[in-house]
Amino acid sequence: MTRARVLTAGVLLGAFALLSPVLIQMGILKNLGQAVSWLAFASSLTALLAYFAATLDTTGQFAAADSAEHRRWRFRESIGHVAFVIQWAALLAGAAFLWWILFSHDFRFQYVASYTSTAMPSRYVYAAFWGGQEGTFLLWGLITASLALVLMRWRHALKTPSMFFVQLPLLMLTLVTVMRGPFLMFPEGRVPIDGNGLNPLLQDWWMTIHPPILFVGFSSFVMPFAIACAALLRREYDGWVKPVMPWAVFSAAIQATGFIMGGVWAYKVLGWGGYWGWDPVENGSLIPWLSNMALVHGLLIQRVSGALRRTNFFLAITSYVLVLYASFLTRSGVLADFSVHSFANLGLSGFLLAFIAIGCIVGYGMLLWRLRDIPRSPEPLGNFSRESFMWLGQLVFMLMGALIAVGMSAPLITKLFGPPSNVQVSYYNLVNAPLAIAMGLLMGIGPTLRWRKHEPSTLLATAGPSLGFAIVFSGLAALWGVRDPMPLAVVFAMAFAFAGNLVVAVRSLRTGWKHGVAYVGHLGVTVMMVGVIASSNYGTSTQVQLPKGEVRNALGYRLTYERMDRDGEGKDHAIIAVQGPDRKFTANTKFYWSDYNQSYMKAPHVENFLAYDLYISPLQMVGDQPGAGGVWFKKGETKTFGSMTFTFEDFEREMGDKVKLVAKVTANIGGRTVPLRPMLEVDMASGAQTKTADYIPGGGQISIASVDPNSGGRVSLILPGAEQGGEGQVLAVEISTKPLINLVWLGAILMLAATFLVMVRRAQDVARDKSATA
Amino acid sequence: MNPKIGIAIVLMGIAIGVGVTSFKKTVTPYIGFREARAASGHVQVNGTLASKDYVLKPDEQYLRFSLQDEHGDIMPVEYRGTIPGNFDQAVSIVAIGTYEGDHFEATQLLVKCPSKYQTEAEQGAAAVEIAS
Repeated sequence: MTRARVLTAGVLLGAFALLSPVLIQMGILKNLGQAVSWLAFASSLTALLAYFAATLDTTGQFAAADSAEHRRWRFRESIGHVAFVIQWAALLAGAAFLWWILFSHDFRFQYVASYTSTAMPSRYVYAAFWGGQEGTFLLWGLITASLALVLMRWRHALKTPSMFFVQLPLLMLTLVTVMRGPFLMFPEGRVPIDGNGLNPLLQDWWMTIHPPILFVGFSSFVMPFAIACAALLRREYDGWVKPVMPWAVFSAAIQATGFIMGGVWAYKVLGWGGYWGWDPVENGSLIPWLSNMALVHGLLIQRVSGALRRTNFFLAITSYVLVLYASFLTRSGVLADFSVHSFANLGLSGFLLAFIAIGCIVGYGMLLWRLRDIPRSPEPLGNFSRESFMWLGQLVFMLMGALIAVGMSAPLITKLFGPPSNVQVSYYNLVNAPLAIAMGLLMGIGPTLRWRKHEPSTLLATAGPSLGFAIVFSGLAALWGVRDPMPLAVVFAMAFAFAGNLVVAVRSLRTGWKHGVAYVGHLGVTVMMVGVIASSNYGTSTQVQLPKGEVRNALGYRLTYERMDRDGEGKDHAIIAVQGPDRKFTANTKFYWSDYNQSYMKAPHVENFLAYDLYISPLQMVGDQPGAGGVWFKKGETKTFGSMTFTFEDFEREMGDKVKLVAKVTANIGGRTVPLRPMLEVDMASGAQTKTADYIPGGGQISIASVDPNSGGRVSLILPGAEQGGEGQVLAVEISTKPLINLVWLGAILMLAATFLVMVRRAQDVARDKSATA
Repeated sequence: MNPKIGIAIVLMGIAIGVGVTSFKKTVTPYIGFREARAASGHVQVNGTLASKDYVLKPDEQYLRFSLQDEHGDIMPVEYRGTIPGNFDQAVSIVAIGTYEGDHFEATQLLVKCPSKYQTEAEQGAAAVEIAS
C-alpha cells in the first residue's frame, strides 16, 4: 500500500518535472519557483478535499479491514497522503529554488534584489530567505508541512481528521506563496545590476538561526489546534490528551528556544542593553507560549481527574489563533509607527485577517458545536490537591497572556476611542509583577502536594521549610540592595518556589529522570526570574565621553578610546582599552555607518564576569560626518594604508540611460600591482544610483563613497584599513553593569533542557501505548 | 464558598485592577501641542526642530530645543538622557513626556533622519557632471 503511494507520488512529480519546462517555455509560468508554488497550491487543495472526504467517511474507517467500505476510505485517505507528500516536495523544491537564486545573485527576481547584494558576505546570503515577508510565508508553509509529515506516521483513529485540520492553514500558506511569493520577477530590461542588500542588523550569526527556530515554534502550534479540532469532531474528549501532549510540550520547548535566542541577540548584538524589550514582535511570540503553557498544565489535570475538558480545547485553539493574531499585528503594518522591528506593509492585511477569521471560525465553531456534548468532570477538583493549585497556575498563565495581549493591542484599542496610542514598556512590568508573585507562590506549593487529595495539613508541613528559605533568601537580597517592595516580593516568591521544587525534584529524580524533570524546569524558571530582577533593576549605568587617546574613569574602570578599525566587511569597530580593578581587556564595539539604514549601527562589547556583565555600548561619535567615511583622492594622487598603496588614476565614463562612472584605481599590495574598478551608476530616469564594490585580492573591498566634480574631479573611496575622521574624535559610550545576568542564561538553559526532556518522556508514553495495542 | 474559587476570583480581580490602572497610567496618546499643555499625564508629541540654536551639553546629557508642529506652534522641550545621534538633522522628532508649566519635559526622544533620496539626488548630479 505504502509502496503504491510512493510510486504514485513519484510518477506525478515526474510528470510535473516534464511538464513545467513546457509551461515556462509557453510563457504561462514565469519560472520554476512559480511552477512549484502552483504545484504546492494545487496539491494542497487536492489533499484538503481528499482528507475531507476521508474524514466524513467514518463508516469506512471503522469497517472491517477487508471490507469494501474500508478500502474506499483507505483509497480516499491515500489520495490525501499522496497529494500531501507532493505538496511537501513542492514546498521543499520552492525553498531550494529560492536559495539557488539567492546564492547565484539572480537579480531578475525582485526578492533577490530586495534582500541581497553582491557586496554582502556570502555566509549571510542563506538568511535572506527569511529577510522579507514573502520568504517567511514559504518557510512557514514548509515547516508546517514537515511537522505534519511526522503526524502522518501516527497510527491513531484521529489521524485522518487531524490531517484535514492541518491542511486548512497549509492551503492558506500555499495560496499566499502563489499570490505574493518570493518568485516575482522584474520586467525585461528593468533588472537592476545589484541588490539592496540585507539589513545589517540581520547580518549576524544569531539572526541567521533565531527566526527559523521561531518559525518552527509558530508552525508547531498548528498540531494541538488540529488534534483538538479532530477530537471535537470525533467526540474523543479524553482520547486526544495523551497523543497531543508531546506536541504541546514540543511547541513550548521550541518556542521558548526561539524567543530566548532572540533575547541573546538583542543583548549581545543589538545593544538594547537588555534581552527583552516588550516589543510587539517579542510579545507576539510570548503570548501563544503562555497560552500553550496553560494548555500543558491543563492537560495534566485532565489526564488525572478528567476535569477542564472544555478549557483545554479552548486553549489549544486559542494558542494557534494567537499565533495568527501576532502575525497579523507584526506583518500587516498596523503597528508600523509603534514597533522597532515589524515588517513593512505588503498589502497582506486582508489576507492575514482572512487567515485569523478561518482559524477562529473553524476552531471556536467546532468547540461551540460540541460544547454541550462535552461531559462535565466526574469529580470536582480537591481544594488542597496538586490539581487545584495547577488549575490556579493555569489561570495565572491565562491572565498574563491576556494582559500582555491588551498592551500589545493598545494602538488598536485606543483607535476606537480617539487617536491611536501605545502603552509604555512599564505597563508590562507593572501588570506582570503581581502575577509573577502569584505564580511563584502557586509553583512553590503545587508540586509538594499529592494528586486527588484534600490535605490542608500536608500543605502547612511542606510549605514551612520553603517559607523559611524564602525569608532568609529575600532577607539577604534586601541586604544586597533589593529594597523596593515589588522586586523584593518577586524574589521572595521565586525563592519559595525554588525551595519547594528542589525538594520535590531531588525526591522524584531518585525514582527516575522522567519523574523529576518537570520540577527541574520549574527550578530554571525561578533562577531565571531572580536573574531578571537583579540584572534589569539593580545595575549601575553611566555615560562617558572618551576623547581619543585620553583616559577616563567610569564605574571604577579606566577607559581609553584607542582607534577605529575596519574589518573585512567594511564595518568599523571602536577599540577601547579597559583597565579594571581585577581585569584588563580590550573592548571591541561595532560602530559603523549603514547606507542601508541611513544611520549608525552599533553593537556593544559584553565583558563577562562571574557575578555580572560589564556592558559597553557606543552611543555616538562627536564631530564626524554621517555617510562619508571615505578618503578623498585627487586625480593621480597616491595614499598608503598599512601595507597597501592606492593610486587614483582617472574616471572612466559611459553616458546613456544610465550614467556609469568607474574609478580607475591601481593598488600595490605586497609588491603586486592590481587594477581596481569600483563603480557608481546613476539611472537618469529615476535618479537612483547603484554602487558596485570591487574586491581587493587578499580580502576586503573598495567602493566609491562619493564623487566631487570640483578641483578637476575627486573621488572619495572606502578602503579597508583606512582610518577615517582623525584627531579630535570623541566617542561617547554608555557603560553599565548587569548583575547576576548569568542566572538568566543558566535558568533559561535549565528550563529549555527540562522542557525538551519532558517532550521526550511524553512521546515515549505515546510510543509505549502504540506498541501495547499493536 | 470553595477557597480555591475564592483565590481565583481574587487573582482575577487583582489582574483586572492592576491591568486597568497600569493601562491608564502608561498609555501615551499622540496629541497636538495645545492638548499637550493641558494634559496631565504622559503624552507623545511630534514635530520638527524649530531652529538650529539649541542647547546641548553632552557631559550632563542635557538637551534643550524648540519643537515646531505642523501649524507652526512652537514648544520648548527639555531632555535629559542619551542624546540621539544626528539629532539636528532630524526631519521629525517624537517626544514622549509630560508638560511642566513652561516646557515639555521629555523622557524619551525618537528621531527620524532624512531619507537617503536627498543625498542621493545630489550625488547623482555630481556623477553626471563628471561623466559629461
